[in-house]
Amino acid sequence: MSGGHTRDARMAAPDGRGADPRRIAALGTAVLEANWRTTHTVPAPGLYPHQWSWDSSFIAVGLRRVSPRRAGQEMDALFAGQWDDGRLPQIVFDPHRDQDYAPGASFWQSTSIPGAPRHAETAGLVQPPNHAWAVWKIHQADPAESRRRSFLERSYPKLVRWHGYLTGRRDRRGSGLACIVHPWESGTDNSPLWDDVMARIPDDCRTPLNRPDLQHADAGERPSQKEYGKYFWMAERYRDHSCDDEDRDYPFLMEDPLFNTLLAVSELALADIAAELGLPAGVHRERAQRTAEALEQLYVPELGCYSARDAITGAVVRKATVNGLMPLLLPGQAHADELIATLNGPRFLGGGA
Amino acid sequence: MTVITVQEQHLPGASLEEKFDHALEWGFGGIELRSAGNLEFEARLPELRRARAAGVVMPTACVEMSHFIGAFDDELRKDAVVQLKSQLSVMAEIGGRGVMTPASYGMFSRRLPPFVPPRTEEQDTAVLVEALAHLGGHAASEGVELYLEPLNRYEDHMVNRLADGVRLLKFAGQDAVKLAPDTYHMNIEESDPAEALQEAADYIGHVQASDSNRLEPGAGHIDWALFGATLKSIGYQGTVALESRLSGPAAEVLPRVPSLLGRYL
Repeated sequence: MSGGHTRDARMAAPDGRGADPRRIAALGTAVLEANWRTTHTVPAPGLYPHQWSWDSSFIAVGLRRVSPRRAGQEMDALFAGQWDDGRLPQIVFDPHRDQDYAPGASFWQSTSIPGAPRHAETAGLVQPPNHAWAVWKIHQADPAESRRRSFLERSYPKLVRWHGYLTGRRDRRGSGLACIVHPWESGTDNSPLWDDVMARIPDDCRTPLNRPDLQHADAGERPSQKEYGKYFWMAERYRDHSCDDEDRDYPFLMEDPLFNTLLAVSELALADIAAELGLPAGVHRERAQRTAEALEQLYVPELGCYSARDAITGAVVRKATVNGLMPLLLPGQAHADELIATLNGPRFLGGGA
Repeated sequence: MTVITVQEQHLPGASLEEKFDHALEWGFGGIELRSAGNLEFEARLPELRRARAAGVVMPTACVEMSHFIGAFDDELRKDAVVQLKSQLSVMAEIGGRGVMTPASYGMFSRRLPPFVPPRTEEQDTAVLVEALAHLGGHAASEGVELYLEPLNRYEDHMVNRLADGVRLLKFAGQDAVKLAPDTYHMNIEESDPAEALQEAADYIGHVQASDSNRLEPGAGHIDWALFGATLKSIGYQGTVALESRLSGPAAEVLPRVPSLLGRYL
């Protein structure tokens, strides 16, 4: 698309600074439109050629400024991949692109897994629950269009079932926090939070590792073959247990502060959605409050931020990461001052990076 | 903010000045003229000069003819070129941007009997490139532009999608000839209207807006938010002209259009 490249070159400032906001919006619109695939948006045409769960919510939040209709369609496409147990899958696959990403549809064989959708191929893992948050923002961008499409009416029950899955089957400790079963479920795949638990994960997966990602990115920018061996080992085990969350000895169960903060934020959005639909909203505010209170188990005073807890050993990881700052998104946050101090401190913004 | 114009036949008033007053009142920024054959547009010059002097904004003209540059008949084709040359000069004189034309309209459709045109695609291309090259040179010398409008498959067999138009423009190699996408035709022909506009961005000189059912924007199901965001994204600098049928009396339905499109442009 040579015309597009010419335009890109004209519009971008050499170092990105001082660029006209309208030009940035123009370029952003062009990227969103270039990555639209009839019903959804791909995060990257080569490297990520399917629909990713939490990516689509973020994409839809931006897309609502371009086309609220498309933003709604984006969420509809993801919801069409919902499982019977309520989970929204990490990936909804484009069957024509299965050579370009692994583990793909042929790995998961989801249509053979009880409870998975019959008419879509999906992964069995999930991603952080930013969906209700996105749905409410999309509605607000154009309430008339949203009502015309019955967007809230159709989305609300699906979101309720999604949150029900997370607070039910994924609360493996009964702590009031949802567990992730794979680094990919955190959205922060390579976070130092997972280093300790990953050290005890075997890397001898059975699936041959073809690494289609290396066609689209430099090896230096991608996980190592050994790391991939562990990712696939876990995915194989989870898949081979039908993704049923009943595998007693599954070795990776982490309570992530980012994941659970978004759950609480989305629960608050569900309250707004319910109120808009004339349904009881109080139950959602109570659930959000319970999740926010449970998050306190993850606060680490010495670090001045939250962290992840290994739900198997009970140990809280002693590392300061961006995941641990996310509770700032919650209204009336108990440690807001400490979080802001940490954010501005030498570990983060004050670090002179 | 992009200027939204409305075609003159929709506006009440005995003169262009009166029509313009109504257009402004309804939220439009100008009038798109209709340029008829038989050198009738040139014959309107006194009227057009007067309107221009009175401040009437007339950026573009859209042909109102019975035969076009892609006509099968040699004489009709030549006459269409003669008419457009004259119309381009008229627009130059009144300070306009240009004139828009389809390759042809209502002459032939591959989807309707007799299905097979009397001329090959190569011959179609040759005829059109010749006309565009000739008119492009004339437009450039007058400081105006010619806009080629793709039509849906039922109204023309030669230029249906923006990509078809871009292909012809590349052959003709004339900077003063550009594309004029019309949202109604795009809704029928393009897989993704937004992507089509992005791909053709460098060639777009004028835009016409009409809803999916050929009624005024807002009366159908076109995604106007997407349309506006895409025009902004490609840095479109021209005007948007309303060419459509109306879902009700003009005074009732037309004033809604600038506020609808203006939200997004």
